[in-house]
Formats: sequence, structure tokens, C-alpha cells
Amino acid sequence: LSQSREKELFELLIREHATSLRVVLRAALHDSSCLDELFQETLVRAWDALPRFDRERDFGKWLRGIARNVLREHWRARAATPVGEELLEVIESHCEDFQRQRHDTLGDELGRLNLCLERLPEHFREAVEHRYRAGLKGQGLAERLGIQFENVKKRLQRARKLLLECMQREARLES
Amino acid sequence: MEPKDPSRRVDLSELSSDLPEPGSLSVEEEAEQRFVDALLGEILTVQASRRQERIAEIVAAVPKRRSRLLHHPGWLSAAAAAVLLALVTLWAVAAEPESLLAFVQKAKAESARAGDRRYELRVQPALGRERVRELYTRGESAFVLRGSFLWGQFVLGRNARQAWLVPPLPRGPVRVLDSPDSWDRILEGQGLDLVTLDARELLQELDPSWQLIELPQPDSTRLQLRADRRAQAGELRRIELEAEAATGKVLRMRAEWGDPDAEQPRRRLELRLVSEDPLPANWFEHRAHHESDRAVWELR
Repeated sequence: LSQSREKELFELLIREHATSLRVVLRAALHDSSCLDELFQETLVRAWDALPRFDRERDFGKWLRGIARNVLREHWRARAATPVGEELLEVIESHCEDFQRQRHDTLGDELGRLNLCLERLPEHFREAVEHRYRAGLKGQGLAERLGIQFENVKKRLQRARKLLLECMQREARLES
Repeated sequence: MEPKDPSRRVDLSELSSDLPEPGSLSVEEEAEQRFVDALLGEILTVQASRRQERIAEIVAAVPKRRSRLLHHPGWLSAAAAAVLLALVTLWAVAAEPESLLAFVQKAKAESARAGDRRYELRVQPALGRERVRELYTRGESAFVLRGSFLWGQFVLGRNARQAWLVPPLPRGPVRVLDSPDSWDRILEGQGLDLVTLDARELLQELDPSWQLIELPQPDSTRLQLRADRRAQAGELRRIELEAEAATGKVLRMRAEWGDPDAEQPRRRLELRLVSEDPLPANWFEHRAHHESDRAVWELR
């Protein structure tokens, strides 16, 4: 392959696996301000290592493995507390499930998520909308919802659990 | 709620997080929470709609494979003063009207003058986005180049005794080499893609195929020149220079490489003089650019 053709194919693969890659990075970071930097570093390393990629392997899993190495170096360089390997393994298994559902576009991803969001009880849905779509955090979010921050955390925790269960159920139905 | 493992250090960002405290749930539950939080953060926020563009940008900016780059130190950057000298030398050999030639000689002498200069350096590599760096020079040979790369800010410098590199923090100790002429050695293994311009490349370009023309002047105090030639793919094809008419001081310089018929250049470099204010005496020493307790490696 010419380098330009190789790059086109690489970009296609990256587009397909970008969400799960970024989810792994975001889930492992305490602070998402360096998410873009680590995402970019992962892609650069993947491009460097592409000639050695075994085509029989799962590209997404390979890519996320590179991301985990990038994360380890990131934590070491900052003397930060790493997220445990066991926790990363469980996140990886969720990513694999998510990847298997073949989301071709951002619209597909949004579609299933919105479906499950609509099924959430009102007060959970409201918390998720304000937290993620509107980007509210901390005390601002608590004030908007009119509850204590500790209760916001509990409400979001419950909402996330319900969302995951719903998405897993939908995926099973589709398959 | 206290984490189950009290020895674990908790970041401030975690304390204000709406995720459960680390250790307060089982590993599976904590992973579920982090996974869904990350998924929502990726898909539901406004940033998600920009993600596709962002991917295209990053992939476009992925450099040539590093292992190949490291075998081509000729791609690495050179001091601005050397670049300017190379350019004016290039023009000096072209058979052009006497007045322009005299002006080029004046610019050459001015570029070699001792003194501090600060430039803005804009580099458009063949792949990826334009990069903006700061370049400081003192006389003909001392320089400091500051910019950022994937891992953070780097500072590269050279003075009469040493070449040095302050890499982005994750890349570890400061590298110092007591051999300033082989300064590009300190970049080995750093993965820094300093695709700018090597003066040696320009010096090889000396031939009479260049056409030197004077461009319409913006005002009576400045002179603008342009040199063009029919270049092969990837070769230097155009150089523009803007200088003070009275002194020959170079205010702006632009070099383009590319295919002769392409409208856009493949690579472009632009230097703009920002200031001539005196810099601190130690500005060209590495210690002026990092914390005093940062580790320093002396390379052999």
C-alpha cells in the first residue's frame, strides 16, 4: 500500500474505534483535560506500530492496548495514582461489548443511548441531561437539581447503572 | 465516605467528581460507573459532534513514522540566523540587478550583527496543521527554539559551549551535550518532529536558476523581494523576504517547498521578527528554561 492509501485505511479504522478508545482513556483518567493529548499520542503510536499489527487480531482491542500503555506512562510521568489493572480489564470488557454492537455512525450511538435515556425515570433523566448535555458539575449541578451534592452523586450513580442495563438489554435484543 | 484503601492518594479533581469515591464500590461497579460516565461524556456532550473533525485533524497530523524521521536529521530545524544567512547567500549568487544585489549584501551583513532577536516561526509541514514556535537568536550561532508537541512544551537551545534540550515533562530529564555543533544529536529518541528547515539544505540550493524580483513596496521604509524557481517535487520553490530599506534588517522571511504546478506549497516556513529587546544574559543556557530541581543528563 502507498503511504497515502495506508493512511486512508488507518483513518477509517480509527473512526470506527474512536469512541471506545476515547471511552477507555476518559474512564481511566481522573482529569479529562489531557484526554485529547493522550488520544493523539495513542494514534501516533498506533500509526508507528501499524506495520507490525497482526491483521488476524481485533484492531480495536489492539488500539486500546496501546492506549493503556500510554496511560501507564502518563501516570508514571506525573507520579499520579494509576487506575487498577483489574478495573481497566472490566472497562475493556464493556468496550468490547459496545464495539460488537457495530455503531456505524455517531447517530447510531446516540440513537440507542437516547432510547435508554427516554426510558429513565424523570428525575434520573434530568440529572443526566444537566450533567452531560449541559455540562453542569459540582455545586452548580446540585443547585440546578435542588438537592445536596451527595444526593446528586447517588442519583447519577443510579442513572448510570440503569442506562448500562438498558443498553445491554437492547444489544441482546438486537443480536 | 472514606476510601477502603486509606493509603491511596486522592486527587482534588476526584473530590469534586460526581463519580463514586474510588474504593467505595466493588471493582465491577466502579468500572461500570466509569464506563457509562465516559460514554456519556463522549457521546452526549457538544464535544462529540466535533470529534469526527478532530479525528481527521489528528490523523492528518500524524507525522512520518518516527523511525524514518530519526534517520533523516537533515529535516531537523536550524538556527534562524543561519537560515537567514543561507537565504541571503543564495540571493547573492544570483545574477540580478545591481541595486537588489547590493541590498541583499546589506541584509546579509545585518543578519550577522550581534544582538538579540525574537522571531515568530510558523511551520506548515507536508502533513498536518501549521505549528507556531518562538525562536530567539543571539548573534549568528546561539538560539533557543520553544514550541509544543504531543506531550507538552519543549525548549531546544544552543550556545557557544553546549547544545541542550528541555523535553516536555513526561519525557524526563534535560539533555545537555558539550558539543554544540552536533546539537541535533540530543533529539535522538525524543520523537520530536521538528520539521522546519535545515540551512544545509538551502546551501545546496545555490544555483543560477532562481529569479529574483522586487515586489510592490508596502511603504518607503520597507523592501520586499521574491525569488522563484521551477522546482522539482518537494524542492524549495519560493523565498520571500521583507526587510527595512535603510538597514537591510530582515523583518519577515517565507520559504515554500512544493510541486511546481500545485497551488499550495507542500511545506512552508515563515519567520517574523517580533522584537530586538535584549534578552536575559543567561537566556541561551538551559537553566533559564526549567525548574532548578529538574534532573539534567550530560550526554557524551
